[in-house]
Amino acid sequence: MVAINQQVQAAFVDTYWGVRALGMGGAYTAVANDSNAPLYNIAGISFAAQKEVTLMGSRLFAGVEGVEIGANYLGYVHPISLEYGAVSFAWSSTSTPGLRREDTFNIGYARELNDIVNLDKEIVEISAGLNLKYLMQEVKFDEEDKDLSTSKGAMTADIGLLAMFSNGIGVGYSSKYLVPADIGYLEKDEVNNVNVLGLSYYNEELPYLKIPYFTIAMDVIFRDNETSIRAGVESYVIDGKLAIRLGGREEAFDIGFGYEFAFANETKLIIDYALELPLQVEESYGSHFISLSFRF
Amino acid sequence: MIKKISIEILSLIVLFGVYVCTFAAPINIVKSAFAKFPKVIAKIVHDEIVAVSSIDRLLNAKISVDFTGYESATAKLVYYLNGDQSTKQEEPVNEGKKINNKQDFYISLPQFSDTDTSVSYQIKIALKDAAGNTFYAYWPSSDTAKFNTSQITSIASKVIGTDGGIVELESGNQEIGNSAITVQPGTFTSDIKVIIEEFDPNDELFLSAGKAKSVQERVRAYSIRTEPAIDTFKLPLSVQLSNATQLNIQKFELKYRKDNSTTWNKAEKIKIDNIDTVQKLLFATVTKTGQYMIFAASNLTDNDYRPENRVRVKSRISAYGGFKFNNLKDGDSVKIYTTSGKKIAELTAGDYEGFEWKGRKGTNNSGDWAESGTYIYQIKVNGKVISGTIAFVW
Repeated sequence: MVAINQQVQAAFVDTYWGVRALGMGGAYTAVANDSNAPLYNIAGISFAAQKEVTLMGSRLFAGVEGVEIGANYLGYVHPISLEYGAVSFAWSSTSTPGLRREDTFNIGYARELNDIVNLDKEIVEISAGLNLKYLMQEVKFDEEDKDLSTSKGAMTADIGLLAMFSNGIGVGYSSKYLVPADIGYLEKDEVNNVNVLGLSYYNEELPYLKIPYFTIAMDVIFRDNETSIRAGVESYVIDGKLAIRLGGREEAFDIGFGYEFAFANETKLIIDYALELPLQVEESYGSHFISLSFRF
Repeated sequence: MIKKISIEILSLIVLFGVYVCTFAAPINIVKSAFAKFPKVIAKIVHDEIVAVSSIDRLLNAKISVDFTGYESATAKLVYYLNGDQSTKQEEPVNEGKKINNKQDFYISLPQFSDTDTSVSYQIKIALKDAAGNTFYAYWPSSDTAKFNTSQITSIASKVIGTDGGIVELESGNQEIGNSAITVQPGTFTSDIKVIIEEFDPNDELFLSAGKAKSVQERVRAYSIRTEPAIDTFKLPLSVQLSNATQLNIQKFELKYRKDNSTTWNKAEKIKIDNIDTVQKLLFATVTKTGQYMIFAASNLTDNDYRPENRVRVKSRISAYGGFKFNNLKDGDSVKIYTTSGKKIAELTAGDYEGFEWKGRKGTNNSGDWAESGTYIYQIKVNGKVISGTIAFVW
């Protein structure tokens, strides 16, 4: 019975948000430490060193005539203090004009747990977070389904755990859509619970290859009786200003760049770009993502 | 002694009679140039043409001749129009395939004029023996004065009772099939006259025919009615419509409207069950009396392949159908992807109308239900990829 329920659940597959994460193929659960964290691992917001706001726009499957899908994201993370943790607000949206859109509104909270579980921060920093989400889908129905209301919404929640070891290894776990969220119009349609286990490794200079500020990450995703893997790498060159990223998953290959402009008072403006090349959809010369982030 | 001889003679006469009846029927031979009695029998096989379509006004027929005992057979067609024997003409007949002593012939008369109402025809076979003698055989009868008369008409009717039956409207063209309506047993509770009539699609009755989206040509027009009048049949009728297909036409549409309707723009589209491109027949199932028009859709645009409905609700698919990708045939394909670019379903087969995605994963709707979401489709047809988006929700 459980197996049947798992096979018949619904949408909100969060693939298309956070340009830095996308450049790494979406393998971000054990990396998340910025305003993209609410999407991948809410625990990561407590690792953000500064307040940060990010705005992302995109053009999916460019070159495929007849397909017009946009993905947008607005995220804000606000570290309060070690004692009180950090909060976040985010909105993500995927829309096809005149057809259907999905919107997710997030309010998150995360805090380091070292003082509670009495763990030495020199060995590992560990945090946990909770994300409350409101999901909404809106459909422009054809004439024969005009009797249905156009939008359906439901509340749900994510939890996340993130451990960053001093040797550079990171372990993350995120369980999304934990609370059943029914977004069905005519019958029960609960969004799938998604469990993600992430691993990462960071080194300021990778031994032998001498790659600076190097991160390699992998996410294993369990959803609807299916397991999928995302993997990616990142390196910062030019004194840590320019980020170069590569990543991929079964259906796409990603390449990304980011550049950081530093200003007075440690404020920073970061421009990120990612190009995703679909491996299954034909006639596309890629999905383009660009974001502007401001740290202050 | 005399009695015994008489019995032997009588037996021979009876045997000869049996022989003639067995091998001569349904045919005949008749006249010999030099002999008083026929030496051998030739067999002529030809399905009588009862009616010729007054729309196409063409008589095309096939004849097979078994000329065993002769060296060769040639054929001619003698015909006259409108019962006037003074217009009698003789037309050569085209030879078809020949296997051993069997020779096929094809009759193809010039198109009849609008004023012609009937054609009477006779098949004349010349048989040559080894000695060079010529003998003649005739169809429909050894009586050389006999002709088969076919009405040039576009209407056929039949009284059908509770046991059902078939009304057939002959085309007069044996290279293609005939139009017909099959009434199932139990459709009628009493005797009903069922009428099928073909019209010129450019007839005044059909002049109001508007052009549906991308439809460029009206091909055939029919009226189906009954006496006494019935609007809707208790059971669907199987209909085959003749000469529906033409060369270089990729797609047909069958539309229905009531007799008193003035436009085809909002006509009801009838599902075409099948097309026989050899017999040039269109098969459909209809439930109403009224007018039926076959439209030809040529020069298909990308939108002619895309589904008309872009949103489908899972529990209503059984009532409204799924996403219908039109005008596709074997060899074409439709792939369905999630918005993350992952293929979840593929269609490689359908019916005459095209392919239908019913919201299920796997090949040809063989898997579990897909999740609610926006999906990308990619149609591969004629070496081209046509893409778009659809939404499937629960």
